[in-house]
Amino acid sequence: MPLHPQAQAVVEGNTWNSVDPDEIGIDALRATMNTRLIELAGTGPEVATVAEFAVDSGTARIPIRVYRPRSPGISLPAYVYFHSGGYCVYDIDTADAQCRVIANQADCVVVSVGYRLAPEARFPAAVDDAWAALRWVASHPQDVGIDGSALAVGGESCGGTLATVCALLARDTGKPVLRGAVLSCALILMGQAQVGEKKTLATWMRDQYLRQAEDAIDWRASPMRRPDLEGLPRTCLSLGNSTAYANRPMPMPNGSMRPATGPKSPTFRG
Amino acid sequence: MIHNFTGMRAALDDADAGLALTARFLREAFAESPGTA
Repeated sequence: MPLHPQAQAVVEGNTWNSVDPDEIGIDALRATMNTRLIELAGTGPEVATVAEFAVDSGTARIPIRVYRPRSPGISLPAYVYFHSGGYCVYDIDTADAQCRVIANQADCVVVSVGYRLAPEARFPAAVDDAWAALRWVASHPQDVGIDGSALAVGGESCGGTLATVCALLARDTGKPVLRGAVLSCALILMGQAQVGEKKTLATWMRDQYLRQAEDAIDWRASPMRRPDLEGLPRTCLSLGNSTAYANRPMPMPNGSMRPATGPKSPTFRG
Repeated sequence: MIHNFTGMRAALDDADAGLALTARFLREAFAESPGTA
């Protein structure tokens, strides 16, 4: 399926396709990509309040940003959100605009998590941070002004991976109980490094994140490797129409293979 | 690379449909009692 002309223009001017991260370094890569995304995303709509907190994940204190669509005083459901960026770039600032949109449209509190990034913090640091943030939110409902019994998780790309892992951990430990999970272009099965593979920014990021090649088969990096995917909360899976697996059968949490698009899978043109 | 691009795409204003889908899903999920999914 051809890309929308606006999307094609973004691809052609996209930093993904035009930089050698080994040459420019991680700081310049982040500066370039983060700035580019903020420019594209815009400022986002107004929300009632935005508050910052710091969460202790055991070995680090990580920032979270809390968006409320309405004034304090009413406990709202909460959506704990993990941004994209290949575990190496982007942050809660680059996710700001869309968190505002979702808070307003879903009428819920959005908690955006600034998990640690690679290469400074390698696997499983991001997982540890994501899980710590979710547990903190669940255990501090009054601080955040939420209904602690109405929680959902979600994220994009690697953020979707973190959300998937958090949903599995929540199921395994029995808490917090989640009402839903939003997995947008989630990387649920990470490929291992191959001899002679073509170097891309994606493979570079993978290699920055993982401590060793074997980490790719750890379920916390590739949650689809878990044999027991039953009992997860209701889940929204969304795919971009240029993803390699769009319109192909894809493995589902119940172990079946269903088409990525079909009568029960509404599609939206990008 | 394509995968990550689409992750970014979902953050763009042009992907309003994706954000609207997320918001609709969340509203429905929060409206239901736990365990009824």
